[in-house]
Amino acid sequence: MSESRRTWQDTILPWTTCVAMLAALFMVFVLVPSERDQGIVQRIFYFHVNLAWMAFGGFLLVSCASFWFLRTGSRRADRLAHANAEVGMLYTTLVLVTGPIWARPIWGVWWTWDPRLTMTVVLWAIYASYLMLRRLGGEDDTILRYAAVLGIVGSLDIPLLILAVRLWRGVHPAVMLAKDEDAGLKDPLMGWTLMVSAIALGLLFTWLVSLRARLLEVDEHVAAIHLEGVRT
Amino acid sequence: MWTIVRKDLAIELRTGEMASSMFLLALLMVLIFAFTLEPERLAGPEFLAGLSWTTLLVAGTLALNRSFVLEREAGGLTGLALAPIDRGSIYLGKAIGNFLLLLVAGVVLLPLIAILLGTRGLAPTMVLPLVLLLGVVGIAAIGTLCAAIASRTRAREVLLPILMFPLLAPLLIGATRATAGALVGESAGELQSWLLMLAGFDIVFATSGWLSFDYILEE
Amino acid sequence: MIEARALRKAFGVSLVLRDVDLDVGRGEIVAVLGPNGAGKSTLLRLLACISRANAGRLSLFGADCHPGRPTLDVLARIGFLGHEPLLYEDLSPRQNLEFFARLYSRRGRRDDADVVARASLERVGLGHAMERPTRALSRGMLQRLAIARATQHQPELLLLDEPFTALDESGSDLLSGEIRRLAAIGTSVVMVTHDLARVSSLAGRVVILAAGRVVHDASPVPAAGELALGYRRLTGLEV
Repeated sequence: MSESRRTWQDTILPWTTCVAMLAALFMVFVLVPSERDQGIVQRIFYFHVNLAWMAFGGFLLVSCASFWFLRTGSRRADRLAHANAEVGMLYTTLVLVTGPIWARPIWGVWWTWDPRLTMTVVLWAIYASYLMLRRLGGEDDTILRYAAVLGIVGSLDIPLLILAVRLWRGVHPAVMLAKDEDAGLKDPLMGWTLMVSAIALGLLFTWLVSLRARLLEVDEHVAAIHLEGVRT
Repeated sequence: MWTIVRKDLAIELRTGEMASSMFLLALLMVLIFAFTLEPERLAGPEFLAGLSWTTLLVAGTLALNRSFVLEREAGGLTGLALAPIDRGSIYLGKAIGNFLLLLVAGVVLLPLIAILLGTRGLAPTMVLPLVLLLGVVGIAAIGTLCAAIASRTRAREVLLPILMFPLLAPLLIGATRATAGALVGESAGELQSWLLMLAGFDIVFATSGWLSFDYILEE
Repeated sequence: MIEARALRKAFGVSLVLRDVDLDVGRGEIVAVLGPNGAGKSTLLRLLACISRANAGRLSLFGADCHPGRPTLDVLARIGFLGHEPLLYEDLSPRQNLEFFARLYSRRGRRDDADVVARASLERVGLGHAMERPTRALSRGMLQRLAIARATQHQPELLLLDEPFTALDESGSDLLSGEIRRLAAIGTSVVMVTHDLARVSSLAGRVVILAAGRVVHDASPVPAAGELALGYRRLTGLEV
């Protein structure tokens, strides 16, 4: 990489992400009215919900990239898998943090073993084990392949996980919130807010992944140069 | 494939180290649980089921680790990789060996733990062996794959549980619930969804292990 | 038999083999020399089709080699002796060989495994020790057992990584004899070794590998003294 190339990732993506995030923040904290039953804390919902499905979707991306890597050996695919895993894990952590922040005032407890929280914890653990494998695996190329296998196997695990946890624990209380007809997403503005926040978080995810993937690429180049220098 | 199974069994019969250490570890774990939690509180089918699967899992992890450490000492899976056999068969061979070991452990442990914690109120049905079987297949399937992966790294002892446990979450949930149910007399019909889930789990992961071993053995 | 073009192999970011070409024909005995870290063992593992090259082409017995999904037919014709013995310490030598005989046998001849194993053991002079646990064997005996394992299925390509190191004089003679015998019936042999005397007496061709590159590939093979001089000239090191 002798010259820096300004691609769409360098120019459009950061700006649109910023704009979207600002819009989302504005809508969530200023524009949208508080939900009737829950008050101000409920605003976290707009982030929490989107973070959650993106966290799960992130692993799907990991497994797609992993599959692509196994098929073609493209290192770019491997870097994408790695980057997606890291950002996905970040999002999962945020879900687990925003969850209790929302839960404590509403339900009175920091944590319950309800199905969605449970499966999110396990998802977090799966992400962690994937990243741990990459870290402890050593320098070999074979580890990349193992990580890819793990990525695919992990994503196969997730539907089974969801099934098992649902069978075990019943349903996420969020559904029970809609018991009262007037509560829930009554105001159409809430729907918009949800969508804007989804777009913002999605763009953020993409941007972080592209940044991280390029960092990984630079890492590889640096290591290669270093080693060449040492050998000569 | 069966050749590999027989080879592993032959080794095990000669040394007996895996079975005995597994069993001892499981027993010690039960004791630890008894000391740290009140033994009286440990009674009841849920706790019995949970304790059994926990100890089986931990002791099983030890056995899985050993199974691949032995291969490693023999020069890694290189010898097997060189041989003109299907990579998938290598996986199945190791997995079946592990499965048998775990099954024996489970068959011994479950009644033992029941005795230690008190068998009052228990009415085990025929579904119980089925649950045990399905659960052990799942552990063997995932465990063999993860052990193969972990054995090639330096931190293999610590990496194996890290890789295995999150993936086994659905299995543990299902197996424990079903075991608890089977212990108090629930029939196969009542436990149907759990049994189906376990069976699905087994099929998915045995297949993915079998398919992905090509990639695992390549250097 | 072997046709390798522009092989490259990297572990992580360190390049171990660069642009290696190698051709080996039927019945040829090729010796590979080189300083430590030159990539000789890596090359051998690539040729055994258990390791995948990052670039280049490798074809064995006329078919391309895919370590990921290898043609079982190709693997069945390769015999490999690596640094590790690839044997199970807890089993007896006979059990070990029987295991491998079973793995390598063509369908329908599994029952021969026991016979094959015993015969191999006799051939390498371990007939008296066939039931002892393998971990009790001395290094030399272990190496003989490994040789038996590598040759018992009559491979058409024999790859040996420093086979003479653990052997005593009689063991080395035994191995030389085996190599000659197999080459005479058409087996190609590629051996990595530092034993120059054996190289001169056995090999028909010498390849020298240094820093991952082939720096010399010629036949016939000169006497040991001249070989040492040439080696020092090319690599700047003693053998």
